[in-house]
This record gives sequence, C-alpha cells and structure tokens, in this order.
Amino acid sequence: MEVGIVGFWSAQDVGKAIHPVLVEGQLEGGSLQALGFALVEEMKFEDGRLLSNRMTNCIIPTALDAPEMDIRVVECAYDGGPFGAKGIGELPMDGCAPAVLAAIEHATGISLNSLPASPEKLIRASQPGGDL
Amino acid sequence: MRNEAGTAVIRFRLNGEEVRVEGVPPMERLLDTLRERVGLTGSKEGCGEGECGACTVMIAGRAVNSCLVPVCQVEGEDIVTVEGLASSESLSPLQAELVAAGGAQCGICTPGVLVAARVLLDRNNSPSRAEIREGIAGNLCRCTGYQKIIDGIERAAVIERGESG
Repeated sequence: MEVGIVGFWSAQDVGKAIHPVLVEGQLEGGSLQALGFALVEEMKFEDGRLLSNRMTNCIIPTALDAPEMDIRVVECAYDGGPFGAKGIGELPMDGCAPAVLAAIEHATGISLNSLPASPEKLIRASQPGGDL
Repeated sequence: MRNEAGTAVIRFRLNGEEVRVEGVPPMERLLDTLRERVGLTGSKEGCGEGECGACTVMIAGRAVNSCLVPVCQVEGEDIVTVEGLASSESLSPLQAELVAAGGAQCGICTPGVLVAARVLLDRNNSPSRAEIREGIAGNLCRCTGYQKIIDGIERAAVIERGESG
C-alpha cells in the first residue's frame, strides 16, 4: 500500500509577502519537506546511534515524488512584524503531515499514529489486529 | 602515461577547451580534480556518494555524478560543467529563466540542476512537466519543492524553441 500525492493545495497567511517569489518558494519547499516527513523520511536509531546517516538511507523527496503545488499567499498584516510580515520558514511545516494522514484515513479507514506513513506501516495497520 | 610514481597525466576536453592535468592520482574523484586542480568550483559536493546530484557534470552529453568518476576514466572525454553552460559573460537562457522563476534559493543544487536540465533539453526540446521531473530526478533539492525549478526549465525550453512572446 503506497501513498502517492496527486495534488496539493494550500493557503498560507504570511502577513506581508515582502519578496513574493521567495515567499512562494519557501512555502513550496517547506510543504515538500513536510510531505516528506509524512511519507518517506525516517530517522532510525539503534543503541543511540543514528542509522539513517547518509543520503542513501536518509531519504528525502525527489522531483518525481513532489506533486504540482498550488499555494495561495494570504496577507493579513501583523503589527509586530516588518511591513506586517510574519515568519514563513516554519509555517508550511505545520499542516501537511496531518493533512496526509487525514487523507489516508479518509481513503482507507486507517488512522496512523506515527510517521512516516510508509507502505510497510500501512500494510501492517490494514491487517486484523495490526498496529498503527 | 604516468609521471611521479602513482600519479598520472590526464587530458580531456573541458567546456570546449583542451585541458591537461598532471601529477593526479588516477583514482582521484573527477569532482576534486575540477574543484581543486582546475579551479572550477561550480560543481558541488552534497553527499559524495552519488545520491544528491549536486556534482552533476556532462560527459559525452550525458549527466554524470562527478563524485563517482575516477579522473583516469575521463581521458579523452568531452566534459561540460555548469561554468560551460554560458558562452559569454551573460547567463544562458536556461540559467536566466531558472533564476527569474525563483528556482534557486540556497543554490547548492543549482549547478547540478542546470547541467541535468541542459542534458534534458538537448535530448528533448519540448519536455512536459512530467518529463522535466524525470530529467532532474537525480538532483535533490531541499529548498524549493522543485516547483519553480520546473517552471524555469519549462520557460527556458519555450525560449530556446523561439516561441516566447
């Protein structure tokens, strides 16, 4: 059971987009990081040692894993920021993984309580008495 | 041909010019030869194990991870690095469109992406977005989500076909 992302739509309130192209770029990049967090990224430890310690085994999304992204920038000015701007780097990380898990539950009934939502985990969870 | 014990002289074509490097350990990585001996630091080391594509160069028209190539293997070969993508002081359309689209944030993947895109466009001058994704599948980017990289390459293909308005 493998999850593929066929589309991605989000609206992000940034207060003020001082550099609109870079703001969009950060939102797109952060969103893909969060999608990777949801689906493929796993930091594996054994006896306190990090096993996922190289690019070969610490897997991040490629261009083939990334969906087309439609991101709408919303500007509700924030008094405490320059020109009304809020921070944007961390913002796109917040919603993606919950959205992916909600979509998986909507599609399959499987409600995972850990990440990533790997194929192995989904297969185990889909079996009678399977753990999440 | 060898000079000092254990080292070699390697000759190849680099960005259109004949190059000769001497006193090179034959198993030195091409990436290190380019960066340290020739002084072309455009190609980057992201992982050193052929996974990230930041070291991508063109050898005989194909995209190759230069961190995996022993320099002795490029004797007589035709190599193009990111530095060779523009023929003059100004950026090539591919480079200019990638920048204009916002396809470069930190920039560490950008040289490899540009070389991979050049190889793609040389082989297919009107790629679909899916074909562009496949063409840069060997280039990892953590900053952009690939969206504006693909936009830039798509736009560059239009310009190279002479179809821009």
